[in-house]
Amino acid sequence: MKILLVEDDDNKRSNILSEIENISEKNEIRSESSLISGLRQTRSWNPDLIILDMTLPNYDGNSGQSTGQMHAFGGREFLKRIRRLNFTGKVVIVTQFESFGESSKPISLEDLMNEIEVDYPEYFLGYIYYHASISDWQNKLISIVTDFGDKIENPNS
Amino acid sequence: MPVSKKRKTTKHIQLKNQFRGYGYRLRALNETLALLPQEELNNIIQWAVHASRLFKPSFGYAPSKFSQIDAIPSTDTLPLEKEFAITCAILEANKKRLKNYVNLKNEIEDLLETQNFADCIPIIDTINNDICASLTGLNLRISLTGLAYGLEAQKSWISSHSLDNGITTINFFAYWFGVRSEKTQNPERFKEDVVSKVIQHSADKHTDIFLRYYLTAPKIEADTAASILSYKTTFSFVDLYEACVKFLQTLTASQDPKVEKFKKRILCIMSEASDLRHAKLSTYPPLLPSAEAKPTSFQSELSTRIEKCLSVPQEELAALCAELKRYAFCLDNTRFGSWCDATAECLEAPLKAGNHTYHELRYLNSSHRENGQSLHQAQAVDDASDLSTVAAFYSNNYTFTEKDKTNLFHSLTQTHAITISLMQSQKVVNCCQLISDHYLRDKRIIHWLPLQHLHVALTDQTIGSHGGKIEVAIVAWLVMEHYRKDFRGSVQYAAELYLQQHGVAHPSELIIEKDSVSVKDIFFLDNICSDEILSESLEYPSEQERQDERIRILFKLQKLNPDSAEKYADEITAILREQELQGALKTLQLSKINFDEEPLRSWAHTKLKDKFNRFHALIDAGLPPHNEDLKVEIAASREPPADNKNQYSIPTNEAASLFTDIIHELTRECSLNAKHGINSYLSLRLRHGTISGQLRRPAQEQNLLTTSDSSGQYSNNRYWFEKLMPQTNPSTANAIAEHLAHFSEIYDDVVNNFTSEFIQVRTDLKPQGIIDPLFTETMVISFASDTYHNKDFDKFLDGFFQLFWLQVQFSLKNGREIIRAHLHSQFDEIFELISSLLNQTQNNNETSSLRDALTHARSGLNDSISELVSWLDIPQEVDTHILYPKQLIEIGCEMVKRLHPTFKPNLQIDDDTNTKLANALILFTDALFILFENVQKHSGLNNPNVTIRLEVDGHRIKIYFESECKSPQHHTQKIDEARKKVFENNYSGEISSEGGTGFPKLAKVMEHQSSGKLVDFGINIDKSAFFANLEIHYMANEVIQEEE
Repeated sequence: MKILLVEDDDNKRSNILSEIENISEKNEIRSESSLISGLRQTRSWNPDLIILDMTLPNYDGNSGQSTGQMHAFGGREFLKRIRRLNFTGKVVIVTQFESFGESSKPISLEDLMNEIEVDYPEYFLGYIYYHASISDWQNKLISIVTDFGDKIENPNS
Repeated sequence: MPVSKKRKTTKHIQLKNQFRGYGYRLRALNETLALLPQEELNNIIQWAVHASRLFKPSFGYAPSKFSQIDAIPSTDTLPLEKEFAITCAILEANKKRLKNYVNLKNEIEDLLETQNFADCIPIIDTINNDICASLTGLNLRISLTGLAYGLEAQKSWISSHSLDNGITTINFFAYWFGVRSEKTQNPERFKEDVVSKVIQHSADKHTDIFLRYYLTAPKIEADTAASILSYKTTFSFVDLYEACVKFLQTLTASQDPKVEKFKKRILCIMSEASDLRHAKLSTYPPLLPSAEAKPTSFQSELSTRIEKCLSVPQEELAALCAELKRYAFCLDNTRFGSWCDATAECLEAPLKAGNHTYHELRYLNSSHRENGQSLHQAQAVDDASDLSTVAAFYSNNYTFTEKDKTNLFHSLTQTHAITISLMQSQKVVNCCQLISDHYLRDKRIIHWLPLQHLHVALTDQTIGSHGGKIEVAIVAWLVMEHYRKDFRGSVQYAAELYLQQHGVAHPSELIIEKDSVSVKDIFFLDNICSDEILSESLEYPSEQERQDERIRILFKLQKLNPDSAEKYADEITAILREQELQGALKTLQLSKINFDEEPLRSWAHTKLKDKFNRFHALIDAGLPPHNEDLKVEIAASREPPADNKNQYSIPTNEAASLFTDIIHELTRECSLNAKHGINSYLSLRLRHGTISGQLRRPAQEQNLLTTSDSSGQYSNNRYWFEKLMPQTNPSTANAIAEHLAHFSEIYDDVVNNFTSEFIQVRTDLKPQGIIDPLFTETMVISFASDTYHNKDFDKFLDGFFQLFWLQVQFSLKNGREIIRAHLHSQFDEIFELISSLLNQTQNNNETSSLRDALTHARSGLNDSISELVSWLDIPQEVDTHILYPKQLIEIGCEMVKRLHPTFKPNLQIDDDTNTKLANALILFTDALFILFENVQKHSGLNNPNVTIRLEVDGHRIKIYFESECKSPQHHTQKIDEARKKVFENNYSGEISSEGGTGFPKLAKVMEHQSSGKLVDFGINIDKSAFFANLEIHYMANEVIQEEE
């Protein structure tokens, strides 16, 4: 299974990678750290599963380059854009925030995920609330990735 | 009777006492209103005015919340009659001041007639400061500032008068009224934005109504009038009075006899205050001689006029439409409904269907019906069927003649109708063709387009299925530009499909011949392929590549549209400048570690050359330093002397001893020389504010950090206290505010400890310093071998400096990893601590916003640490930038702004030099960084005015730097002391220490660069400003004259 991780936070990316790398040797894993680089990778590599952060910068910040605008709803924008690319895989969202948007009128994680589930049912596999010092997210992520991997290997089961 | 009088007096006293107490005022007032006759009400209110500070002038523009004003709470609204009675009583109580206000307001009205905005400003300031602070006055001040001095001055005025980080209602109000109402904003979008933002901002219905009333000025309905009056009684009599005037205007237009009594009372107050508007309003409305008689006669007249219009298309149409709109405004709802029906009857004759004007009038009818949606009559009419009739007409007859198009264009409301019709008929391409044709002919049509409908209609699916049409991209762009900025992705999608249709991936590759280029082609390249839209494209993996493509597009546009070549050239220049700035900033980030080779070379010639010559004399005499002896000497030189005796011990091998001495002394000077060593640069470019700004910024952006007072006590976090108060109780909010004070303290401890212990040259006193300058044994032995055959001292020094850089680079490599691990572990601990404190404090749901803020700060801090670590390397790039002095100054300012997100100086640069400079980046930015950092720390202002003048004088560029300072007298002594030290050349001891004014560092920067000097600096008390004058000397080859 081809897995693409789109995540800009170094620590979170490294924690997630270390979890999914242990799931199966058969998995091929790549990671990107911005909206544009994630979409470019999706277009060229066509992964089976995308593990997606919700808040993303426009560009990678490599070598002191500017990352451009920060998208508070970068994950939702990503989903909209992959539909234009006719992406056929699935997406699981992993976020460390409990609310999104402007602080005066935030949208809660749960509400946002409900919206996304309705708007992008063909991609949405679930969401995980990530917290570096709480281990729940690891179990949930492993479970989602493993189950999805099984489905790909045994589509009829 | 005496008993009754006593009871009444007791009640009065009781009421007055209640009125004094917090939270009882409304009840007291209600009881008063219920008990007392009208004539006594006035007395009570007059007493209340004196008892409360509510109506006193100059209480400031920004109470943090209206509900906190010590006055009548606005949580409940009384019936309009009672609110109005209170209003009149308040105005009566302030009669004298009201008259003063109106007199000055009249003066303003006179000046406005001649558009003399600047002279209005002192008058409105007098009103606001001496008579009564009010939102009306604030409104006027903001508008006048914008009209007289421009948008930037307006923004500056707003920000300099705003309090509490922009979270208060008043700041919200000022922001929206000022900045967001700038002329380029689409009024519809502004209105829509205001409504949505008001809902997000305010916690109660009253604030909603109040803000919406002021910002979008809707008509006041009777049910909202009471709320507005109620709200205004909590603020100022000026607002109250102006609300009454506005109310009067609406009442007059409504022609409702039931509100005559309000009209008379307000007109009476206006007359007593000598308000110029009284004369106008007392004879209003000029349109209808009699409210009762007009509808019928106008209605019959209307039928005739419609007939006439239909038989001669377009005749008097514009006048008729305008009249109909005014007519509709003056009618009450019931009459308006009747009019709708009557007009509809006129239009029903089947022979007229298919006539162009018929549909225009029909549209006008149905659109007015929409305005009267609350009517029974209007609700009974099926608006949709009207529109579908129009839609059917245009769907089947989309073959306009040129004449039709012209007519259509002139009757803009028609375009609205046709657009909706075509969209409903799924004729997206036709609709986009129509809109883009008309828009490119005259851009004013934008105000008539149903942008909201277009926004809904242009889904990804629609754009995808009509891909490749340039018109779809143009209309998508119009929606983005004038309605929803977040529609940018859809514009890019439409543009991408158009490019695909033409077989190219980049707009610059489009093949367009100059002879056949269309207006649409130009519009596409110019507006739709803008840098902003290209940022959505997957074709450009970085900003640099995207900007390069935009430059290619602009070159293409210069050829295709030479009339606008200058505009395109300006944009190319702006992009190139931006790239230069980014490149320069990158160079500066990688140039933080340094030492001054030339002064150290001079020092070595004076102090070490004799030793070097003696060393060679010993070698020539056959006494080479054997490796073993050299090892011993190296070991000895690395150890501190155990006791005094060692200082007099005879070296085992004199040549070896001399060589290690030379290396040791050179190493010490390159590392620790107060003016020229690495340590002085660590102090200048890292320890002096840079590290602290870099590490604090992410938490500051989330308002998590507070500061300490002179005793070191950190203040509680007011921002989060206020933010959490609505969701939690005061004691919990207070506990969190205290936790955040503690968080700030330990956060700053980590930053300060890191700066003072790690960003250092490693010595016995600073054992954790990241730069270890001591060479390894192998390096010294190898260098000694090279030196046997090299008698040229300068070549020896070249070799040493090379070796020294190598050692620094080696130690930094290790240091970076140590720092990364150290900072991560320290900050992780702090964030875990605050998280656990929050979890103990209270319910998770109530602090989710704070936890998110901590997550944002933590994530941002990781990026900041990575960036900081990248600075810790020896310079990788040579300064090859050739920049204007103005750009160099902007870079210096930008470096400080990046570290301090709230610091936004109003920078004015007056550059008469007309030159570009080579090799000036480091010098300018070092100097300007110190000056701006000083302004940020000591001006006491977030947006100080900073003026910089640049002049050429022979081979010198003179820089006159002046910055606004809030309390200059507080800094005079320190600056005078620094001035004395600098001009007595007695400051070298302070170059490598942190804190203070930073002027010793500035003097060092200017002096050692040998191309400049610090001429003077100080405080100008009269101008409340700090100033510094610098001179940069340059060589002819360092200057590039600006090309014409």
